[in-house]
Amino acid sequence: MTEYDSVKVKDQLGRPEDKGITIKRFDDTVIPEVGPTEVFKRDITNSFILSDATNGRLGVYNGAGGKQIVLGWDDRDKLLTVVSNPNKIFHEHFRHTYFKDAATTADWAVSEGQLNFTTGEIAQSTSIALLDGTIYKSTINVIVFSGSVSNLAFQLSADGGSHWENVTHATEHSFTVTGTDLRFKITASGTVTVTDIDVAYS
Amino acid sequence: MMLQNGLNKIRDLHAANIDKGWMGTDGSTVEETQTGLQSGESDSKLAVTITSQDKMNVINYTCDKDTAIGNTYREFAVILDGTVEYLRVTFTGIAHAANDDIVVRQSIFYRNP
Repeated sequence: MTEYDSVKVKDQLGRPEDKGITIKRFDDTVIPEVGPTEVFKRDITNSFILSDATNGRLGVYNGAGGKQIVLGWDDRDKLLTVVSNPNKIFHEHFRHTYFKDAATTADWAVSEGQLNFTTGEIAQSTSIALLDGTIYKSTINVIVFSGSVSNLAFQLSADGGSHWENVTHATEHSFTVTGTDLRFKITASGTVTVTDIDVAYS
Repeated sequence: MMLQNGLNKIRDLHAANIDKGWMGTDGSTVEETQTGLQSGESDSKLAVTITSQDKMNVINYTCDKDTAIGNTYREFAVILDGTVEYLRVTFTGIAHAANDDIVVRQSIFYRNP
């Protein structure tokens, strides 16, 4: 808290000395929030490397679909292996598109830090928790900037999108099909703008 | 309320002090009272790059195929000013074998309460 010099303030206001004036302003608080941790592995895959026991055998098909065309360590595949979140709560603030699935038709507006829906549009995530323990339960909460949350239908999948289950906003859902790859899908039936999504899981 | 410019200034000040990341093999629960990794692998202590976006820093860490191999990693920390471990996160064990790079992308957001 900042306390300003009361004598100077009194002088400026022309108040007599016996009138105590104190102006206090609460300090701003900034929260540095630790976001998701994504761990990738980048392995040799099918790159051709001389002397490599599997990929360095000229004229020998290694069972990888004839893709032995890359020389050296470049152009290796980078595979998302783990996504973990502090306290098992994923936060989406729309400041990047790391978790935006290609199936998304809503406007994932990073420049505005929000998600803009019109009727019929969907927003779907990629893995927001991956190999972060088996997921039995989850709760999704959104902060709506404009429009109504009642115009959004929510689905979650614990198995990487193979099975989508309808869920109620801000209500804990117990999965019928559990798994280790959590994703969300939101479908709009009106014009809605969302600024934040939280997905808790256990 | 802190304005967007203020949040981004704090983001930049923070980014300027982040030097390195490292990994360890202990996957025990993170506690605020901990001072860093519980079982850090010193060879994995490596410089990071930082990508700044609006009210957000992204820390990019790579432990390549020739470095600190032969371990299964379960924890990651970000280091400030060369010594202070700013955060610790844990995850499912990732075996780091020869031929594999491990890449960690850690997001930090700056926001009002």
